[in-house]
Amino acid sequence: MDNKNNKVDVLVIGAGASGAAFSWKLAKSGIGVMCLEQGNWINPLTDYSTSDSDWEIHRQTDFNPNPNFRALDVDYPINDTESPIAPLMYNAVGGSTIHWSAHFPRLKPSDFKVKTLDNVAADWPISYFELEKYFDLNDKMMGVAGLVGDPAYPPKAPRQTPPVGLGKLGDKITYGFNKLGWHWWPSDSAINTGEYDGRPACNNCGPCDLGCSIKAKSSTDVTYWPKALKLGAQLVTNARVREITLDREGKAKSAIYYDSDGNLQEQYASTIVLAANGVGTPRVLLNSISAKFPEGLANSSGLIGKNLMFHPYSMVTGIFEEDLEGHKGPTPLNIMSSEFYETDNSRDFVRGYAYQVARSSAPLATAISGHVPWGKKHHAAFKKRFNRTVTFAVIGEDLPEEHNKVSIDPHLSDSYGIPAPKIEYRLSDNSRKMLDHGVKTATQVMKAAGAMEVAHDPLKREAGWHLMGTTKMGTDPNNSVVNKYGQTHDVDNLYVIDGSIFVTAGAVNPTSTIQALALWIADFVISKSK
Amino acid sequence: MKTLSESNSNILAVIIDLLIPEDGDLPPASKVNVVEHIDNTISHSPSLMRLFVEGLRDMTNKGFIALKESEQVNLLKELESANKPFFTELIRHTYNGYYTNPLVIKALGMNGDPPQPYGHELEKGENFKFLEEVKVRGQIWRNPNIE
Repeated sequence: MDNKNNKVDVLVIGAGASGAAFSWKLAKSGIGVMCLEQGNWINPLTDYSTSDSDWEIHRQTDFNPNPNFRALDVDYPINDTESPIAPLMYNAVGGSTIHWSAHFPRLKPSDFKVKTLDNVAADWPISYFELEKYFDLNDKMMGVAGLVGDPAYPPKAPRQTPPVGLGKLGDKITYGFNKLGWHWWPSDSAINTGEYDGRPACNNCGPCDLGCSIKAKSSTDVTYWPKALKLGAQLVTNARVREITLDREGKAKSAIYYDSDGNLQEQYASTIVLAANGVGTPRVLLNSISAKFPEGLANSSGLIGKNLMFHPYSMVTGIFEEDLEGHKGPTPLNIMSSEFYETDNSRDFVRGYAYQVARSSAPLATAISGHVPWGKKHHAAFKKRFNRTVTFAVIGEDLPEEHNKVSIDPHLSDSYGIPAPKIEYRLSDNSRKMLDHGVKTATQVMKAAGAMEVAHDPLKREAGWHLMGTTKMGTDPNNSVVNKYGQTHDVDNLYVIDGSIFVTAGAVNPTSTIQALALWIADFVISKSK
Repeated sequence: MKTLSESNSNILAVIIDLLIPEDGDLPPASKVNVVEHIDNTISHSPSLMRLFVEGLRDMTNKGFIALKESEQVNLLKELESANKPFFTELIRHTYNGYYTNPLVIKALGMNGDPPQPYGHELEKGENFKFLEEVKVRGQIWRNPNIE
């Protein structure tokens, strides 16, 4: 092992949504920060496929969101055979913001108080209003397209650019919402719709999930990282962390990682911060075994890896008679409905769900959707759907359950021999009832909007984009892993800042909240260093 | 051709035209290089190559080429359940090749360009006017501080 590296003040593991925001904030306050990222830099101009005619095929291969299918050198395998939902992620500078759809809603005030309000799960030890200034700062750093005045949220500061255009599909579907008198709003999106922060406006090309070659989509490799590096943050790519070590006093001492040549390195730090997502972070902690922590680092509660929450999705697709030009514009239609978000005691489930609306699929995705048969009826079936579908993703609030978990698979490892994670997950009865309700109401909207046919997928498998809860935040060390500042109860110079610390999941995309928390925790770490 | 023999290429061309036949401006699959696309794809994957070579050999042994079209369709329907792994990949790579060919994309009424660098003009729509009705209802978020 090579011990050549000097000690740094703060070592961050993972350069995605949270690691980028956190590193920038620390570098800005003059603290020495180094980030280890297992993936590489992506060059938006040359590494994305969206200028090639075969661009859609890349969704099946090197840009598949599922690391098991993508199987690039920088990925680690995940045993997901005991889960009906497959975890999805991307490994690169920017992390999963490279392939995300840039939905940027915040969790709502009620999401932080579910025990008080609805007597389920636990309250967060922090409120929406405490996080508000960090949401605002993060919005400025990422650049958010949207519209203030949404009655489903407390008032927000002006958005950085106007909302993403909704086009003909928007006219169609919002007519349906209004006919029923149900809530909808142009959702916050981390996509420039005008020039902002030196980056251009979105040109409505469509496939956000395949990466944005013009940098209009706010992945953290084009937002936070260039600024963080200019302020002196260090970023080491191709650095695959095997474990975190402890010193004799029981404090985090170093991270041991494989470098790009496959050599083991040891990086010492005064403070170590995990930002490797809701699967990667518990994986590192559970792989860090010591005499003091034989069940995984900072795991005296036994909760590391447990309480895994996805957002389970049902997909409801309406087919319309007219050509809605549904392939134009960012794949997400950037409408969010909060009509069924809050608890209603007259329903047979607690908490609620939102709809995210998606545009029609591109040609190949339409053809391979499973609805276009081969043979003489092929073209008619294709034409019936192409540019004529609107899809609602019914996104439900999954409540934490200890049996839903990330553990270390005894047989699976990555290409360097680091043990790989295993996912065990069952959809709860509450979540199933919630999604069934969502399918019924989404069908009502489609019909009100004039859909000829409506079909649904009760639980989408390739939909584990949101990985939360596996190092839960709380005040009681027996019942949580980190405190309200992301600091582990067991090791006071070890922090977690990614979606792992979520107490509950809400029913919206988590990235905006993940980053606001990372900035909040950064302020705490800065205050401790003074 | 890199991988498939001439006879396998010929039989594949007949098969893919039954999967995606001609329809008005839309060409049959064999006319837009789908055989070449499949050949190139399987040349990078030994397991796919084996699946295709063995699957096509089976069709040859059943005298596929000499059959009437309706009999060929019936044989493909049989194949769909009898050799699911091959048929699934056959469909996937036929659709992949067809729906990424610029001639097909143009025939669908698009300009044939990939998404970038030109993107699309997005019609603005009238929808933001519809928000007035949403605002009228007032606050629907739940404030935990006053409950």
